[in-house]
Amino acid sequence: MKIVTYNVNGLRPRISQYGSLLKLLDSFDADVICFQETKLRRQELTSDLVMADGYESFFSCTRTSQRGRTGYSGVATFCRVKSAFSSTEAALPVAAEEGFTGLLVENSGLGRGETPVVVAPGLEEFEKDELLKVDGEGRCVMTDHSHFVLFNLYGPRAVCDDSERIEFKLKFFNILQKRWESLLHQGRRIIIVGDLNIAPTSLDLCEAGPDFENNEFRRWFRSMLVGNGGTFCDVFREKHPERREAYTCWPQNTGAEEFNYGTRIDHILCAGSCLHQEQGEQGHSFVTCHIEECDILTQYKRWKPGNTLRWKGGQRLKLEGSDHAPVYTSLLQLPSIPKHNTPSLSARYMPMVYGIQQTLVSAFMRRQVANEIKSDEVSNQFPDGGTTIGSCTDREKRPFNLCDVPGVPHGSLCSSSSQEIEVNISTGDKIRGGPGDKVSCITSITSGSNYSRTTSNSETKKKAKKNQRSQLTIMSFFQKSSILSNGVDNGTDSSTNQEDIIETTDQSNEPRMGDNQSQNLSQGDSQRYELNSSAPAWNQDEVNTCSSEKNTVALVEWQRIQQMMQNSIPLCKGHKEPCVARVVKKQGPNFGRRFFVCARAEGPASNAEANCGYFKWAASKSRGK
Amino acid sequence: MLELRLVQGSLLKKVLEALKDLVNDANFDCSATGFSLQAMDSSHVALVALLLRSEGFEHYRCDRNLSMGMNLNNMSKMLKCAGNDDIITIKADDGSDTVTFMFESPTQDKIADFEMKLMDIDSEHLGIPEAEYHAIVRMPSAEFARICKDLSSIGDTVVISVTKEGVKFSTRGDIGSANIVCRQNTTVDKPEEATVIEMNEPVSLTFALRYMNSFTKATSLSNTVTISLSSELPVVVEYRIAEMGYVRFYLAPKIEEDEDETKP
Repeated sequence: MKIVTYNVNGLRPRISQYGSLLKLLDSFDADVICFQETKLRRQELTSDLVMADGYESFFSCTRTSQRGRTGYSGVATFCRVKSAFSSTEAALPVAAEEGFTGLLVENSGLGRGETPVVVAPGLEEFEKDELLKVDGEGRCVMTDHSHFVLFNLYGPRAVCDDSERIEFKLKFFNILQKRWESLLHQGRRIIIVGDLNIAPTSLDLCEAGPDFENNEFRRWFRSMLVGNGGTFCDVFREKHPERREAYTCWPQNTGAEEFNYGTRIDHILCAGSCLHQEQGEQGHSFVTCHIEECDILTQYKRWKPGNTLRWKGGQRLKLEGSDHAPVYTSLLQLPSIPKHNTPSLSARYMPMVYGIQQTLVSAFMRRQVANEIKSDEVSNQFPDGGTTIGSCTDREKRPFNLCDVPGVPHGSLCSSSSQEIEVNISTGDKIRGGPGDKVSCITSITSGSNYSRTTSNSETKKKAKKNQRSQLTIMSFFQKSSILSNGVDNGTDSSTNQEDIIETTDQSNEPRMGDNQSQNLSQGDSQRYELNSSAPAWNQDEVNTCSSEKNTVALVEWQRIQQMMQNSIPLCKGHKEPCVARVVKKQGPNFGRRFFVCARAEGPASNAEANCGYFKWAASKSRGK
Repeated sequence: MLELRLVQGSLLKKVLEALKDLVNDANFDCSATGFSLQAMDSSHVALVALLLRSEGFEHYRCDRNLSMGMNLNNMSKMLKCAGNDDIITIKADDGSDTVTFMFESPTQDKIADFEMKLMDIDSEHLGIPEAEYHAIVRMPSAEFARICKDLSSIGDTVVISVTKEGVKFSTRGDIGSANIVCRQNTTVDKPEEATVIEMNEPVSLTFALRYMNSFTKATSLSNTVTISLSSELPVVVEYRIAEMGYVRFYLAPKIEEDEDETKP
């Protein structure tokens, strides 16, 4: 059995990255896949986001309406099963629970009204309000796989000066730990996976400071581990005790992936005994007997070593993917479990998937089996598999119709560009044929690559190059155009009043000279000549020189201006490269002030290629202070 | 001593709306001839020049040249407090740390004073040269804004090509490409609806739509926009401010690799 945990940083973008939910899930080839940070609210769950053929899913969404806490968290567990009913697979949970306090049952679909809401065992000492608060942000889904209880967790993040969130985080893990203890006390095995937002030791953070390990959460994390008298094993460290620079998360806004400047905050922990007969003996535990391998799936990182594009202050590069990498573990020797059906928390029973909008096709299909389904819905019991299986498969089909027919925007929308649908009004003809003086705004949007004359392959290359080209290449533009201007000057060589300007330019560009002159004559002069119709023919040249003199002055002047504009951007200390400008967004005395920082990606200080930490205020500050 | 009384206060409000997204802070220069500003955007790629001539003010007193550094966001916050019909007076004493904006309602029954702290900003005045351009396009400003907005939903850059037929705006992106052609058109009921193209030489230049879009924030200042293009010079996007002056945006083109193909 393979378990994967992945902070997806938005399930929607990951689905569109892979084309569909099914493709995303299949890419892991795992039996249980735990996602964190789905960033979905309950009302946004649609079948294309929650249902995938061959997987059962269990969602927890944020319930709080507190400002800034909506729609960013959310966890989901996907279980790959052959059948959701009468199955003996251990991957299909026998029970599932949203949250860890037991209080969220009241809202979860079919459980309503049937069982009274009870605080989970071990948590009786806490206030109900308190429990609801820590459980209200969609940070936990529990699935009971009979051999073990799996916690899919998204630990709260708390920056060090935010005392309110630190308290929340503390309470969150405190209550959670009580629940774990209670389960362990009952003799259950526990596997905890997810983004806990805690890097336990200094091995798990690039360039940890001296006080790093003193943080209360890190101390708490370590205190739970077996080596420190606790009951849990950090499975990754168990398998790779010494491995350094094994990170799972890289800060998004600093380009930290380029230099692997990350942290290891996505964990797989487990506790409990093994399934063997002789479990009391030494050397036997769940970890030693059942965990085969555990590692980080670095191929999911956004930044690949082959990326030639440099992270330049975030301006050039949009990397697709999550800022986290998944972690997996594979379990050994877990036997089948007794026949059971999918728990009622399964997304297939969600009203938004199951009940509200239906397509015409599904409506007709539904009518035929309506009675059967209705009875299923009420009881959620399958007294004998034989009669109900037919209706189950119907039911399974329906959601997929639902998502297929309306053409929910998958990645396919983008990929269809190769079809080259021509919406293009043939612009040229229209213009010439149209009435003389009417404004005709012809907008043509062509899908696909028929705009370009090159093959798509070379086009993508070109595009990559274009992205690479920063706006600052303005200087090279001026170098280039100065050649042009030389040509213009040389062309007007014959007139005698040009010395000083000609002197400033070098004469190196003979072949261009001819080109430009003929161009000037053929295009420019005819019109200028019209304007000065009184002037005799030999005056042409002079008219030409006057305007070109003016233009040359303008050009030289503009070169100076551009130089100045560029030079006014400070160069960073480490690489002598132009900095990027930023504005202080944090409230405080410096709010709104501009500053410059090194444009390189963040990395360890030992790496001279990485951000050099250069900082400079833009030269502006409030007066009179 | 500085005292500038602008009857049409909404003009100043619009000017600030046009600039504040592009420029963080800037020096306003006051002289006997007018009230002007020259500033770069934060990435030092685009340049903006504003001029409000002294004749446009009902009362214009500027005893000696004065440069006042202001944070445009803060200034905009204050000017938002002025009604659209209000008369705005800008006042400052020599050597003062603050500038005062006075808003008078048209009926004179309400007078508001807003005092804003000034900033010290290092900036060098760049003498922007006059130049002749290969092509000058004058068109309705709203039309130009619409084009930039529409194209930016498809791609990042716009290619502006002026030929005898008209001016073409085109872009290309992941989902496809788009071309918008505006033809010369002078037979319209209102002169501001005309599209006029003066062309000496055909030009085709590529610009970042991000900047073009921020230039179009000035659309409310003028019914028409003038785009001056030369293959050797930065483009000038100019919005005239009725009778008073202008806002001009300067942006250097991006270079296309296949420049020779697209050039005449």
